[in-house]
Amino acid sequence: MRIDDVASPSSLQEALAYLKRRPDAVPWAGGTLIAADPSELGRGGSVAALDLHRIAELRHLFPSDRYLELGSCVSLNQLAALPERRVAAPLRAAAMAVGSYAIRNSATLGGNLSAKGRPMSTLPALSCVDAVVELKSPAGGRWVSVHSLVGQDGRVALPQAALVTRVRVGLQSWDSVEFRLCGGGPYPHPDAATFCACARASSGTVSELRIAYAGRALARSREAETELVGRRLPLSRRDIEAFGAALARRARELGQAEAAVDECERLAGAYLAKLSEV
Amino acid sequence: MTIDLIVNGEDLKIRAEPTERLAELLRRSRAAPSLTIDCGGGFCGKCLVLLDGKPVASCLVPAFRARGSEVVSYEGFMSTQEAAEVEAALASAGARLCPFCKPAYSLALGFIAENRARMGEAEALAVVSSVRCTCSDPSAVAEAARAILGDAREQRMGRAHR
Repeated sequence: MRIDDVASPSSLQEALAYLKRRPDAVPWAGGTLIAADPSELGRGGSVAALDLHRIAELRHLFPSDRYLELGSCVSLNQLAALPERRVAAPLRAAAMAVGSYAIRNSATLGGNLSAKGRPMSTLPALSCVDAVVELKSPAGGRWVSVHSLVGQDGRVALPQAALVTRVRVGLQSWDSVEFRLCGGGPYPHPDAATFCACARASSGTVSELRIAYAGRALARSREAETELVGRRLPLSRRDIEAFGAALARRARELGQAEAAVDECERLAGAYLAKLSEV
Repeated sequence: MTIDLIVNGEDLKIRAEPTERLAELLRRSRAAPSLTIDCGGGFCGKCLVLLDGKPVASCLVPAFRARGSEVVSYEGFMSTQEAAEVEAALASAGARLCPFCKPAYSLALGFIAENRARMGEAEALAVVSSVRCTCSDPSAVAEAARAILGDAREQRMGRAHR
């Protein structure tokens, strides 16, 4: 892959005008993932690089009482440094699951979320907290659920000529949160994987449950999650095993390695067994 | 393309390929001869430089990202006030560093020294763990980082008591 042009706009308007001319342009925020894995650029032909780091509005954080809005070029270190009450708990852990301090200074939320080859650490966290994402293209802007960015293959597929500009996460509290970096080590290790789970309980029953595992693809079974809502805590062994089997089935359908399938089943089982302590 | 940047206080205009990385640019232009490119994937951290005041793995940073930015490498750091303090902290911690990792560790410790007023121990240890080298004992570098932070705390407490 060859880069035939580099644009470094200083405003979002300029960036969108460039995307209109070059819809094939690859948005380049921190660029750490592209540097570590050039296949993120795509294969064959030549592309243009759209360097986003000069666009100040993409680096802003907009906190409110109910949600946190993050510019897509907010660095992972900025995210990790936010006070606990100001950030959805799994998101901070997801930021820390990437590389070293020096890498996290360059790596951005938008870059991490938009990784095409495989999901990175923030996708399962954002999926669990039902984040919404602002997409902007030369045709206009819209807010969409983070789930709508995930294709049938469990990987992120952004529309062409579209930029992730902001990510909004609710700051509702969860009764139980778990985030685990698994696999070979911190991202961008090729075998890195993430397990993320959030739950709420009310009057001794499960009122909300989200469990996601991201290895080569994002695996989540919403049907199995819904099945457990309303069940009394502690969950029965049968319920826990049925959930683990459903998530493992989904992971297998997405082509995860058998070791990863076993891991996600085991982690989901351990998490659900612990839920009785909520 | 031409990249305008400031390296160690000097304005430079360097021609670069679009796919070139900052580490390669700095080596090729001889602006940072001490910089080592080892793993090329950001894991070893030996290519660490300060980009606009923050430590980054320059092997992962595209050269075009440095347009209009300020880069400080080990050569530039050695002329700062913090350099002598970092050297002393490394010596008293018994850290014997090889020439491949010493520049990166020194920059990391210099960053801690410069930002210690708002930095906790966990963050300082995360900064130094950005660098990995088989020559050195990471615990000695961590001790140097704690010593640098500790000095700041003592100064802060001294001011508070006064």
